[in-house]
Amino acid sequence: MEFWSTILLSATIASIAATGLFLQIRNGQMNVGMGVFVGIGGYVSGLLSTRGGMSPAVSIPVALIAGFLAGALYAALTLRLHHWFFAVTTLSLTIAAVAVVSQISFIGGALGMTDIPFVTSAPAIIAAATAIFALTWALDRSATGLRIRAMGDDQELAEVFGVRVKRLRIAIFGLGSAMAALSGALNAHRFGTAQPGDLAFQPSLLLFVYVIVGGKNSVWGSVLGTFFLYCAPEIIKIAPEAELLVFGALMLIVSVWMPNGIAGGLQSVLRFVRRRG
Amino acid sequence: MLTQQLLNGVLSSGVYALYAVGFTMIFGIMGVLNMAHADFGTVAAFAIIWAVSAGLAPIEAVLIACVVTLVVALLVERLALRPGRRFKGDAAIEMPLIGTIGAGMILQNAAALIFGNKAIVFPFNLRAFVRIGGFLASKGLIVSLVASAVLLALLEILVTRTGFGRQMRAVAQNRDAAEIMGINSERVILITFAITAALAGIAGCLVGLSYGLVSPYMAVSYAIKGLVAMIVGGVGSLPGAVLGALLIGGVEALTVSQFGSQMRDVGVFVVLMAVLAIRPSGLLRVPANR
Amino acid sequence: MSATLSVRGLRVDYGAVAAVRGIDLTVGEDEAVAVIGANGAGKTSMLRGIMGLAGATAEEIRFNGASITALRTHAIARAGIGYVPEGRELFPGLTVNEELLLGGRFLPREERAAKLEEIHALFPRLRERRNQITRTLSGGEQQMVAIARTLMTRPRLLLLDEPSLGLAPVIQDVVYRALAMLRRAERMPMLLVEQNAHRALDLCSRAYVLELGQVIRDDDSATLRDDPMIQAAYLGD
Repeated sequence: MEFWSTILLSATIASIAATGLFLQIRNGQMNVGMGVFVGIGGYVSGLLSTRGGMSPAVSIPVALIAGFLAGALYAALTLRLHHWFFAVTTLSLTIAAVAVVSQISFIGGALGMTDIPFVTSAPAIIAAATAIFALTWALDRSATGLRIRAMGDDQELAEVFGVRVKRLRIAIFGLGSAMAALSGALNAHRFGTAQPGDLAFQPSLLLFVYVIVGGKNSVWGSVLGTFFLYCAPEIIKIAPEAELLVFGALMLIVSVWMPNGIAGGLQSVLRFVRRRG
Repeated sequence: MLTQQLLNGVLSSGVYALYAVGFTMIFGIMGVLNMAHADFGTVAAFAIIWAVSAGLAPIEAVLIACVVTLVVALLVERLALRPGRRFKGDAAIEMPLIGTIGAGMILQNAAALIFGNKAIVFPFNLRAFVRIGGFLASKGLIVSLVASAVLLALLEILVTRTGFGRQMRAVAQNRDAAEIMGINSERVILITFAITAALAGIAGCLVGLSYGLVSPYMAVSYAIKGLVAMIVGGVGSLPGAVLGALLIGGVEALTVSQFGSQMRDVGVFVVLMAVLAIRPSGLLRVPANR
Repeated sequence: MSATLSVRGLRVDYGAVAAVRGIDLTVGEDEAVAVIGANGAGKTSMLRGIMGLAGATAEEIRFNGASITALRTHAIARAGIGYVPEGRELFPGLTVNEELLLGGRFLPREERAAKLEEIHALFPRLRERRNQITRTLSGGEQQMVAIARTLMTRPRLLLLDEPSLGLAPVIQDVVYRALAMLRRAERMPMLLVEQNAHRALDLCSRAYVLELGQVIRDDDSATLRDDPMIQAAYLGD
């Protein structure tokens, strides 16, 4: 039971970042480097709560803000880039970020920080996750949510229809990055560590897979994908390479046959059943 | 020291150019990014490793690699790229992006499962160094550079001076109009795709030749460099991709010489962001597509 | 007189919107047939449908006796239908010469050279602009290139979509003089979609009138020109 609660709590924390990524992808910003912002959250909160002497109750919110600012800045720098241009920059970003962070001895260099206070509790995780889901769900259903979706469908068209594309890109990417930073901070205070590897391509890619396979068109889809793909490998134990191969196959299947992921598939089934009944 | 590093940079840019040109050609004619492109190089290199370990002669190994790479490439086109065409709007670009990321993951991890996830010795290598003037140059990298230069020159001739090249450009610039002129655009796209797969396959083998080692995940690093080189040089432009590759090779080498080899990717990122800030359409602009 | 082109039951849908709702038409062996109608009547969609470019279905489309209903666009073009689309649709990065070479690529070298000469005689301006990139040409020159490169494919039927669109009247004269010459010299069958009904009825012996995706009239040009309703709707000013 303890094992499962650990896994589920980890999945919950990951789903916070996944929700942030969902927002960004919804917005048309294909971010394959979310790990960077997760890492920023972990390092900022870790740093402030150890060297900075702050209480985690303060450092975690600050980390969230740091994530927002970093994301907003990055979005501002890459305003003119669409889809894959943007995706390529995020890819390059993760690799570069890992290299930079590994060099800074002040934050532990290649080994990272290992003395971060253990603060994260299960209730805290669940509370944070619930708040984030609720916020994102409400946002998605609002008028702004409609604009976000319009931007994701066809940015040029959305601009023609009056959507403030620049503003939304910066705001939403910042918001998504803030969520990632929160998830990173929660993890840092859970395991007591923050490492360069947190910012790498591999964890970023995993988050991306969770959102896409779960369903990039709904909040609960991304959450579903995270839980499903986080927990399934714990049930069906296969080599990490085989796991990644299966994930790759799932991505391929989604891109061709189920663009709305598992969530979309379930919705279709539900609709079908409702029509029959 | 600086000149030595620059020399290294120029020599590495040969392989980068092969990947970059492949990316740019696919984007030019299909309007999408094939994120599994660099993995074709991995496939070719590992096919040779397998063939040689099975006792085949070098020529046979190369032939096997050609066939395997081509088959894999056509599968990726069929399964990951072609279905994307039925989508409208931005989804037509995003879905193949996602699908090819998935395909890349499949290829990398299949190779890792079969051959192990560590670097493996490549059966043919030219790791020895020669002295040119007062500088050291890796034989393998020299061969890579020369091979790339020859291949890319041939490619440029194909694209700008032959009838088929004209068809390629026509399909890239206006697919419907090409069809109206009686061009079987799907066939042109497939052949172009096969050409890019061949370039990637050769690049992968040149990497093995130059470093004596290949790893299932090596494509990620080369993909980034190829993509950045493409963006920096100007998407859709062959000369742009070559220029971008030279620039990336040079910047990388300079970064390594000044800041150590761990920082090489930071230099690449900085160049990317700098070019995108100053001249987002790339250094060598290209006539508008679509 | 056997029909060069015979279309039966053509429908073109863009998603839920029906642009063409079941059209029958024919173009005879030596005929120049016009299709006139207001904007949005479905004229362009009809041509695109015949060429296999839009979401089209048809009971049957026959060209010179062979069925082309299920063929892909390039096969329809190779069968001998030359389509000059609305808005020219040139290749922005190719030169005038490259466009023409693209059209003539299936011709043996001597024939291609001869055809090139013919084209240059028909449109002298194109000889001057041989090495210019099409993106930099004027609207009229682009229209000439569009027609010229289609002629290089030696079509046995020309489909023209609004050749006068966006061109100054003087340039329209040049284009239509060339079309008239084609009619005289080669008796080239044509299906001409035109908003400018005057020019269409001058060139063509027969016309269809299209409205909301359907054929509402099919008559010879003289009759249509004298019809007060047609005059009011399409021949005004």
